[in-house]
Amino acid sequence: MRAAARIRDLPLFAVLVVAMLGGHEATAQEDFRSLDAGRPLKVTDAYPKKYLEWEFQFGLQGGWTEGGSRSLGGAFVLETGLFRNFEIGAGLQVAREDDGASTTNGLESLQIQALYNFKHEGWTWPGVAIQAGAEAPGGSDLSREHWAWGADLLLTRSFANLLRVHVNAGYGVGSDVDGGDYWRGGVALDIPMGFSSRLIMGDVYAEIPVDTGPTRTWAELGTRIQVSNLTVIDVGLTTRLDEWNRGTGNIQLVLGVSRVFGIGRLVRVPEYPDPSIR
Amino acid sequence: MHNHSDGLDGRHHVSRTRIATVAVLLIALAETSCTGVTPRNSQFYLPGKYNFAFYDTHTRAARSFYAAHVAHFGIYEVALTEGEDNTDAFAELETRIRRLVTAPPRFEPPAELIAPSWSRMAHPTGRTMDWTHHLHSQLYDILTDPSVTEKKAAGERAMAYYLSNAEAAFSTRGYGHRWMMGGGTWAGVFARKYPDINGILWSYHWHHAAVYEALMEPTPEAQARELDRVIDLFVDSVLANPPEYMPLTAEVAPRFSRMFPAAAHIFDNLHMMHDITNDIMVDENLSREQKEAEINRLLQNQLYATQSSMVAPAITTMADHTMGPSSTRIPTQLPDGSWLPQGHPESQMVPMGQFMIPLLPEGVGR
Repeated sequence: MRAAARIRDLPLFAVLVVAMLGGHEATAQEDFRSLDAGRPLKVTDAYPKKYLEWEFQFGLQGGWTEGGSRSLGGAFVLETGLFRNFEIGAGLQVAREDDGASTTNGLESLQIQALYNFKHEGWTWPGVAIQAGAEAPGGSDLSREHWAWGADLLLTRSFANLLRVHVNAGYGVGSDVDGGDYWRGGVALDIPMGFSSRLIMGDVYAEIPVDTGPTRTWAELGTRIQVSNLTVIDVGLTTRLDEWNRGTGNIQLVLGVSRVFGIGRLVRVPEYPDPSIR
Repeated sequence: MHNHSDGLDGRHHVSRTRIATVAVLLIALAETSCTGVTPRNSQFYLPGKYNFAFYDTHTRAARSFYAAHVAHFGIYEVALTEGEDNTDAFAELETRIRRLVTAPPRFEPPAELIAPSWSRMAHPTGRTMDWTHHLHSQLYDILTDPSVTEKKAAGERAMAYYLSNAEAAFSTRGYGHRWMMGGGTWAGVFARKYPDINGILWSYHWHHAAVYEALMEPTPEAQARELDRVIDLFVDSVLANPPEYMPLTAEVAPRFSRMFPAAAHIFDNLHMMHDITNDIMVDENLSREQKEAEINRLLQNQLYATQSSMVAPAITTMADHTMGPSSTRIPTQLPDGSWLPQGHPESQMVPMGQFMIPLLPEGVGR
């Protein structure tokens, strides 16, 4: 019951959190260009949060599948630039499933991740980062069964016509009950729309089981829109291509909001050095 | 739960071995591809209750700077991707800049959006410019927010934070026009090739400082009045008849520069680096690799991290630049121990000959 109430209140909670974090404007915004995982693509860019930057993300993903069943997932994520070029994040996934006869709500998983950026993109080479993460079971009826973890290589490369290409490739470890180990990877493109602080993006992503089982593939299309200098909303569509192959149209809508902020009390400011001006 | 774990021990052992192998391979691949390259090294601005006060209170003034960012980074990108002497491309850029003066975007476009290719070539310089633009914002916010009563202390705290990122902070020394006029054979190339766009940039250097001076007014009402006057003056007069030299912050904003002399120098050095980059980027005698190396050399010469050992060059020729009437006024210490920065109307004036010899670091050979 408590889980059901929590799911029901997710959108309201998200709106409240964003409102609490303010509505201010800032300068030199690039948040709309950050490809945070699930917001709305699976492929991410190779750039971490800035050192001492914090970001809260809230997302919803839902859709109808064949037979009239409905599913809805929610994600809460908090990320920060712990050191220069090094980001950590933690989050939780909640889920709701409705098969027409009954509704089940629950905590699906708890997640942690870390990303280290080795380099900014240079004249030839792309930006390079490594990301590692783990998922713990949420303990509910909709929870995954066991721990899972994985690691990915992330590449980002810009081109003169504003197009950016992102490539992710990695390996995921999961129990047999959760589908077993798999190779994973994808390619994404993003293109900003002039100086309107809006981004159009798309990706294709695949998970290939190491042992047996069908390859899982997704195609996704979305947009990110800077609505204040600190807040970005994202909207997208995601579909399981391999399920389309079996005649099941599985398209889900992804909605989200990201909010950047700083925490003054966590920032150490040295004494003014009274520097030389001669 | 226990049963699950016991049953998975063997499998997890295989998985751990496999992922450890993958992790080692990923790290090795990343390390191999990253030999001798530049890390991103981005840092968030100093959080404070005053953040965004300038934008929220004086939105028109805040957005009036966005065309300048497009101008600066647009020049670099056009020169790199269209060619140093592509006058059609530069004319198109100028048209775009002038359109943005009257119709700026809602949010400031980041450098990587305006100049994606140049940002790949000169990331440390772009990062340093971006970090200094944050200091601009911090000081605008502090001067705007009426709840910040100790402006000097708050401003110096913001500067201490800025300088703590010493590899991305410009020097606090009064280099004036030395690096842009004596730093290399490229000096003056941009002003000679594209005087109209150069005029827009120097107008914006004036504008940045004039906004600071407007914010030195004692009340929010007086600040708003003065800002309106400055913006009208900028659009109607300064842009129409641009300065014939790069104005120093203290020449335009003497009250601000007296309160924050180091900041005045930081912003002069930022503006000088913008101009230097223009010159280098449109110098057809330099290859792309030479431009990258030269921009990085000039950046290193002007960083806070290197200023205690840096000898600034002499100005041996005026090239196509001139200096303003107050530019020969050097940093001057007042009886109370405070300083006036270079260019301040009350600073000590010295003969031009003093600028025709190198400037040694403080405490060296003086």
